[in-house]
Amino acid sequence: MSNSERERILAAVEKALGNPPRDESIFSIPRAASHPSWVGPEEPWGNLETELKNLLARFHMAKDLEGARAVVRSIIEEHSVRTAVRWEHPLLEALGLDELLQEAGVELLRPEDRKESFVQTSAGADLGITAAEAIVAQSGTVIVRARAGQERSTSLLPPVHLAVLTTEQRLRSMGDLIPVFRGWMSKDGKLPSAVHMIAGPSRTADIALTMTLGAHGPKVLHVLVVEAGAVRAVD
Amino acid sequence: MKIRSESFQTLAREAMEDKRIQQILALVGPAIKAARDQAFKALDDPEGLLARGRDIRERSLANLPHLLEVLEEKVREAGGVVHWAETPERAREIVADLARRAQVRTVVKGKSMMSEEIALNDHLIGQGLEVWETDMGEFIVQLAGEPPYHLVGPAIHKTVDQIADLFAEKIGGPKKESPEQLTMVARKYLRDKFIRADMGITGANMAVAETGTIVLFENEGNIRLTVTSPRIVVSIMGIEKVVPTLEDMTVILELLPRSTTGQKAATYVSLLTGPRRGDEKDGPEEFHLILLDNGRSRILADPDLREILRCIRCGCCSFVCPVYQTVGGHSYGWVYSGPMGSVLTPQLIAPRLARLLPFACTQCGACQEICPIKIDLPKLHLALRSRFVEDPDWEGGGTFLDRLPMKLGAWFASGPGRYKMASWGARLLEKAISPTGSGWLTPGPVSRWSRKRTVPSLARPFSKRWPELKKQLQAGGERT
Repeated sequence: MSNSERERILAAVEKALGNPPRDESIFSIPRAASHPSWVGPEEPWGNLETELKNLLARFHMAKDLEGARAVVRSIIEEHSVRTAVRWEHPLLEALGLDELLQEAGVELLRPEDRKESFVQTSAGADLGITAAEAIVAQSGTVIVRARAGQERSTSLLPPVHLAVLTTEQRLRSMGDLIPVFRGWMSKDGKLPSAVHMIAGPSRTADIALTMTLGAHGPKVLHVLVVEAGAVRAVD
Repeated sequence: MKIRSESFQTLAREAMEDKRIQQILALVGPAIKAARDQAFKALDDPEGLLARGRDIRERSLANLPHLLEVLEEKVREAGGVVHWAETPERAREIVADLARRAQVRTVVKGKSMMSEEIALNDHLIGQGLEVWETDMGEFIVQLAGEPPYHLVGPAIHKTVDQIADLFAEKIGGPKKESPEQLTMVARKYLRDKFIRADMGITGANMAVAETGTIVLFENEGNIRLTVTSPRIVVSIMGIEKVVPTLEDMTVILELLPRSTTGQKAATYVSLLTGPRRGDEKDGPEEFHLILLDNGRSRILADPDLREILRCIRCGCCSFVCPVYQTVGGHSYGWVYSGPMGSVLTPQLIAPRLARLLPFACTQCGACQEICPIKIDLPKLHLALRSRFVEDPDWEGGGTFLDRLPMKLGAWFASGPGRYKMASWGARLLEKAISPTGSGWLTPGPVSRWSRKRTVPSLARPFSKRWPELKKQLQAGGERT
């Protein structure tokens, strides 16, 4: 039944176009560059900072791990964070995030302890901490991908989202995302099940055209960029 | 959504008399237009990007069968299920069947024109399901029991006070005062629905064939929640919205938010490729894509009207349209409004219900100029008008008497002698009926046309008046 419906729709489309030949070239032109253009860590960060400011996101840079930890502590204090969810990620481990949270009296929520779904657990957290894949200099867009241990909810349900990256994860433009995506595809054969591009905190202007942050997602987005060399020293 | 397009004139008159609607129209359109211009100006090569966008939409339509087959294959490879629906009825059945089979009780929805097009909510509610619109504006109009007001701002016609009353009545709690407080009330209320929901339903801004990826744009995060929390996700997409590659996607990614709200980027863009995998702890266990035809293959077969399928639904044609800016979104009486709606609606619903829409156009061309895909909307309006007048399939044709005035007009306009004769006759007639030279058409059968328009007096031709004017000018006199 459903199959014949498929055939009928495809036949109607074929006929409408006069039975066009299968043109494989539509999948090959025009291709983006095969390597993404990463912006060198030494290039100025002012543009990205401005872009993030325009998006109403907060930008922090840290020269070393201690500086990065100080930023996390200040975020915990500013938003009176009591509970948090975080990704399993080498960068966050290098930061010593779990110890830091414990010292600051922040409870790390784990769904397995609470016998509930990860979404429910995240909904109960004050802060979600992720390690982004990249940030786009031109637009301030943070890129996160889903995989086991790196859940979609972490960057979405808590009222505050902190995305951590190193100075070597800055892409020049949106177009540079494509070779990054293709890199993932050549490894796994397909794109990740979910990739999110995040440009600032959640917002709406649906009530009386007044821009309000935190419509359904985070009210605050912090971006913390850590000196890549300092992270490598830990590995 | 209930079709009211046949009442365009009544709805338009109501909107024109509604002060609130007029205020909003005057505020929103120009503001978004200005933001849009700014966002395009900031690009390195806006013209190049626009040209690429048009090229991509053209190529995608020209290769549609192939793209749909590849998309289907890739979605399957990623673990998703693809369904094909010829009609709105079939699409509704598919969703209802999926819900029944999985014992779904609560459904959350992201804003989707497609779901309005197929009138999905009423159907699902009729099946005993609890259905929640989760976009802030859509949620407000759902609570109020009204249709969405505009593509981008479904509830922009409501005041803070009206929304506060509505929330206090339907959700409970003390009456709130600010948009921020109201947003928090809705956020909290809907959070609970998201967590309880078994099924999430979205539209799709586009699909990427080569990867089997569905692309979703938004600012609020409700669409992300809709595709993250429930165990089943269903995306419904018109068959025309597929593009070949990720490169093509990035071009639309740049064009769409700039044209929709004047943003450089939507707050969230989600790329979904199948359901959750392996040990992932959130995201849907099942992912379904419904590809809906609903007349699109028929439009594709129509060389005069096919171009409308390039539309990426940014809605910016509305904001520059003098008709939309006067009558607003509700007047169009169905899901799609403004210039693109006037073209799409008659082709998606019974044409006779929407025959007034293509005539609600001044042929000024502003929509075509601002359209990121440069769709020739004025031409499409003309093509539809001629269908409605001449094509028996579109209930056109009419009697000999209907056609007589146009035939006479055409005859008089076909030569300078005839034209002079006609204007001489008309001036004589005007003098006879109305010596003061105004409103001469008001009595008689032509008054149906003239009572909605200011009819200029038929002056003597400029060529006849020029010698006199020249004398006055040379004498340095005032213009009379």
